[in-house]
Amino acid sequence: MHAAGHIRSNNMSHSTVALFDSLHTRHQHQINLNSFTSICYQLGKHIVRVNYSDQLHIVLGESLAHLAVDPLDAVHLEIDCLVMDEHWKMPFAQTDYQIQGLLAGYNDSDHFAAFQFGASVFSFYDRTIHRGYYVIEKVNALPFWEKGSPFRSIFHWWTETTSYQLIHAAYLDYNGTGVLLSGKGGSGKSSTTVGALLKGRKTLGDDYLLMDTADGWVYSLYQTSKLDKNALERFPQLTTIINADALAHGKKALIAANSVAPDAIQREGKASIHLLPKINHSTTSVIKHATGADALRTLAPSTIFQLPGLHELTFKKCSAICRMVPVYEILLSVNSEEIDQTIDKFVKGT
Amino acid sequence: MFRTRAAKLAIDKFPGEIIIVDLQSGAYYSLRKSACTIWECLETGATQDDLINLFDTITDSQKVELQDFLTELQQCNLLDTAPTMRLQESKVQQAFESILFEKYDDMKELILLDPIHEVDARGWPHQKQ
Repeated sequence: MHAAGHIRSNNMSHSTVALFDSLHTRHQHQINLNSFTSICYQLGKHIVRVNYSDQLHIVLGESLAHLAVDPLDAVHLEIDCLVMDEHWKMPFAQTDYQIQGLLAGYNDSDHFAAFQFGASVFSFYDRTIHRGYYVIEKVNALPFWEKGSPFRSIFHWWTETTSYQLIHAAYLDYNGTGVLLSGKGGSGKSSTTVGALLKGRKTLGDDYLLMDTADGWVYSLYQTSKLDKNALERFPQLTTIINADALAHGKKALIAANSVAPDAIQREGKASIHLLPKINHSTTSVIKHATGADALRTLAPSTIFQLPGLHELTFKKCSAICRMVPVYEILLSVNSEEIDQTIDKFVKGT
Repeated sequence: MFRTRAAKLAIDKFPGEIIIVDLQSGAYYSLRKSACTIWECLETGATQDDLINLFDTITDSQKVELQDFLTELQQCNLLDTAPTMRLQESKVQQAFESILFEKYDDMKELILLDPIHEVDARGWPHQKQ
């Protein structure tokens, strides 16, 4: 474990030096002007400290709150979280913007930099000192889904030198047996998770998880779920806790697992079964054998292309995961209770 | 001689299926049956004769299928050069199994968001609503 410092690394391009210095200066200025809040989180076996300016922990901290630990001096990753204002504008030109928001001239052997289009968030990471900056253009304009999974680009970059991988998947605990669910948007992954939570199951999350590709252990990252209108119609009991603003715009609603059922969120578990859900509109769910290739075709693209950079490494880590855990396809019925019973019965029989 | 375009492709091989992800375009592919045999031959570099000679009792219609597959690989930008197949006698190697080649495009929009045409009047980086 090391103490992440403010000293920048030596191997920086001129533009990256200027960017790093301006971010550091701006963050110090905001700290001096406002109260700031440092919160340490446990990610896997590691500790991350986030220094929130401007009460940003209220806006962004909920999705990570279940991972909060007592303050520590020495951490594995440190993130400064701040807001753009008239004193700090993004120094990038339109021509700097590349695929997935990666910024030309600011990504080198020691640094990652990306602007997240849609959320208007700039993320920067210095891999030599394990320090990240997360800069929000406008707090009020921050989309609900970004509040549900903040810092994920920085987390992703940080995992490069570890055996961890952020994966786009859900995890459910069935009496001690860990079930991984991966699928594209609309596959029924989130509604399966919420349905199981309402039956008293535990989860590690249903959007992004942190998985150790060395031993198959899975760690919770965000405690929030996203459900669209159609899925919510199946769970009318959740209408009192949904994000009404999000639904008003016809998008998905953000739901914290612990608000669905008390203590529903867990911190870690071992994946023993990998399910690939598919909506089947049938009266009974069916689970059948699938292959590692089926799993990789499902897990890798949605994981690779939602996270900026490190694509080849991410593919390799996803490959390892898909070979590590037995894979099955589940054709989902329209009945969430029946789906939960089918998975439970299957888990008991394996 | 032609070969696969290895740069910017992530490839993994499972029994009976090869998964290819084009890291530039966001497209990804599934190859099964004889498509796997052909792809592995292409990886090391193959002449048109090499590909024909992979299979026992390959019919003219199967040679056309093979030719179509190569053309599709080329159109998907998975090959470096364009092959022109010549139909000729094959040697005894293995049976030709109908090629299964599937292309998936659903991830493209995630990486190809246009920073010029999808911005509002304030210009980049403000997304058009």
